[in-house]
Amino acid sequence: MHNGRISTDDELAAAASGRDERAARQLYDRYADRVFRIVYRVVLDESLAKDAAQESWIKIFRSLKRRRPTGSFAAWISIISVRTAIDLARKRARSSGAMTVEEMEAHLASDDPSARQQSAEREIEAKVMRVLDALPENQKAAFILRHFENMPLREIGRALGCSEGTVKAHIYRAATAVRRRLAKFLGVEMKKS
Amino acid sequence: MSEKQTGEKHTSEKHLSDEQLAQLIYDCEDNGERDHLQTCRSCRKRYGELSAALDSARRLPVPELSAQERARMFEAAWQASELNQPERSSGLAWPILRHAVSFCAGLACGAALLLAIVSQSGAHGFLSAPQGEITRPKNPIPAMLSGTPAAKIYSELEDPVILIQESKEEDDSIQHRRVIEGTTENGAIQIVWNL
Repeated sequence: MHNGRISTDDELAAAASGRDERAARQLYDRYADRVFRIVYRVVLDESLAKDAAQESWIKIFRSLKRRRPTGSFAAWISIISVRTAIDLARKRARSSGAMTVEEMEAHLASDDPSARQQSAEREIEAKVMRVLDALPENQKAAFILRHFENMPLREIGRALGCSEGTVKAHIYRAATAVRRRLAKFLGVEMKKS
Repeated sequence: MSEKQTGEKHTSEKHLSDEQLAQLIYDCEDNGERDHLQTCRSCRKRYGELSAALDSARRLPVPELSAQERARMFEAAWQASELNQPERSSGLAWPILRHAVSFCAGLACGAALLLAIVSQSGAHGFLSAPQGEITRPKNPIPAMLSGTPAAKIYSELEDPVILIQESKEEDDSIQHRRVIEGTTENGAIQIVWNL
């Protein structure tokens, strides 16, 4: 396992489930960024994302023994991460005190001259956050896993417990919501530039 | 926009639906939609808007974890996963063993209690109140824990509470867990006691 050869995810997962900390750490190093990226895009709050990432890793380590290596390990941890983040976001309901999407948008839209001086990029970010935040949970999960992580539809369907057709519908609706929300704004930006 | 999408026609073809436009981006499926895009300015504009909007979503920055934060997160997750604990060496399946241990502990507690009552009744008369040096546990043990290994833990905690928590498993099933929360001399502790 540690003889210089690069181990596969499944080998590391098997070793980690047998309480091999080095294997677990290697697995973690491979996927820590991915897990954090996914959960952040779900919860859109850095502090909450850290909690969600840690909770995801606890679940990942605890579930290693029960995992059947039928799909890719990356897909498996992505699914655990997105679901953990959705659950956590629902429970906490943004009690962290960080600036929420609504607050950020209100701030940017206010008459405060300093707010109006915010760069167009920040405004687009706020709009993107707003639209992602407003998506229904399954739409959001399907969209994040497909759009940002390029996961196959079949894997997403398995994760969400629905058919590929339903996953497609979720993704298309989410994409359409993003377009509708941002189209006018992006059009204005194009004219400005 | 939507009226135009449904009502307006271009060279005898209907405009592409939002779904068809998204399908072009995600699935690369093409049942003549790309040909339509070549000739329809309205759909081309909507397709451009969709691409631009999705690109801007993709550029949404994600904060980076510091090396310290990453390391701390691993340690915390590894500790909490209980994979760092030595494996139980018994050849018996743990669920069976757990019930057997609970049963034996209950039996032992019952026997000890009976013995104490009998010896008390011998010295001071039956059901007389315990005197002097008999020490009581810090916390009265709830009936639901009586006779279980958790009872001992419960009595040693400061301000213990028992909560029923729901946790959603990977297969969407809801698991109920009985959780004892309390504080030891070393700090906060949470003990999960499965129902």
